[in-house]
Amino acid sequence: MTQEMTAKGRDEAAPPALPPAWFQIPAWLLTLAGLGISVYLTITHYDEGALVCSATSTIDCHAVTTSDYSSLLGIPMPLLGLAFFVGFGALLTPWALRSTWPPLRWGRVAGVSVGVLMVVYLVTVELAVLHKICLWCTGVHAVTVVLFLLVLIDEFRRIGQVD
Amino acid sequence: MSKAARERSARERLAAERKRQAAREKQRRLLAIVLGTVVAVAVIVVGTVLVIDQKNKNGRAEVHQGALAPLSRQDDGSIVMAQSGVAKPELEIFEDFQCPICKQFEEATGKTVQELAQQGKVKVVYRPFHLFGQQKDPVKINSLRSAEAALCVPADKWISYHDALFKFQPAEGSEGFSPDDLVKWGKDVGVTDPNFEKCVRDGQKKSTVDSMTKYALQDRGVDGTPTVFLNGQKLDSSQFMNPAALRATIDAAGKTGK
Repeated sequence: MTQEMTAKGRDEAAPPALPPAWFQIPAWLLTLAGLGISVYLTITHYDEGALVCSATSTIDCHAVTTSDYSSLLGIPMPLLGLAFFVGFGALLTPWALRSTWPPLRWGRVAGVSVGVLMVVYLVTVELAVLHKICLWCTGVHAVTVVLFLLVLIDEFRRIGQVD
Repeated sequence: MSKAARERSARERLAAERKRQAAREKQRRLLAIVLGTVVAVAVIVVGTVLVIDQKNKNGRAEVHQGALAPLSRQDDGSIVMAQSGVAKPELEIFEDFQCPICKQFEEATGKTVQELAQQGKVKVVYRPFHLFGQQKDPVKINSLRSAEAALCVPADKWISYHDALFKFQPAEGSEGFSPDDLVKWGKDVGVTDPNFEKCVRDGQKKSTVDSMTKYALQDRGVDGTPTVFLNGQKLDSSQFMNPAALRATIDAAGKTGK
């Protein structure tokens, strides 16, 4: 009985383990990459001359980043991307990853879900409306989709762990 | 350990296992709901974008509502909008219907221009031309077809048709301004001339567009659109993209008589 109590006390005192490295390292690298591209696209939103991208019949960053679809409810898309990666970075800190507070964990799932829906919207616009692809934007889209998959795989790994 | 204690312990383990199983089921269900919602919303998003895009392409042009100054077409193809006897100040607007900034200009200031002309404060001369002659298709052909079609429209329908062309402006690099649409929008705004459709489809106004383009680029030194002149003086975009600034500039020109 005493041994059981001691073991239980040890369990309660031990901080929850961080997610495995296969989740943390790629998640951080991807978030930093997404953040970097978003910062660059935000700069080019206000200074079109800073945008470096090849222009062919299908690849044309300028046509995409200056189109009617380059903002949502008056907010430039790169700023939305920037806010997403800053917010997601906060949810990836060791403190947030260790926390057993469910809203943080579900915040990661909700964040990448909204992110992937934005990707679906923007890719549809690029392919079906503008008929142009922006390579920088595609980089952000790829990062977001991989983050979505990582978070989802991590959530399936956690099945059985009770919050 | 007694038999009763062992049975109690087994029951507790079983209960704990059932609890874990229930938690697993709950998490699986929640993840399935999240995934299902993401897929469902994604399908809705794609469908909505495609439907809105199709609606924009096949939309109906609308007849302009509200009072306008009388409109007439000059021999060179330009359109004059002015009250009788108003000759100064003269606002000349050089536009290309494929130009996105011209669309922004019309959305921001177009109504103010119409109001000022209607109030007799300014004579407006619309000078559409084919700026994108050196670009690749479809930008080039969109620009040419829309300019030609605009010249096929009678002067009294100009504002409605002009507004429709900007409303349905294709995204840069996208196919658009098809002859079918150009004819349809003309009929939508009330063009009844039996020669209108042939004029649009055969590009009958190409020579006029060419001469208007030469006039803009060579004679007037226009190097981009929109370009706006007030009494022959080129205005800065900060003056013509802002309705209040444009109104003030025109009022000032009207007072000084320049």
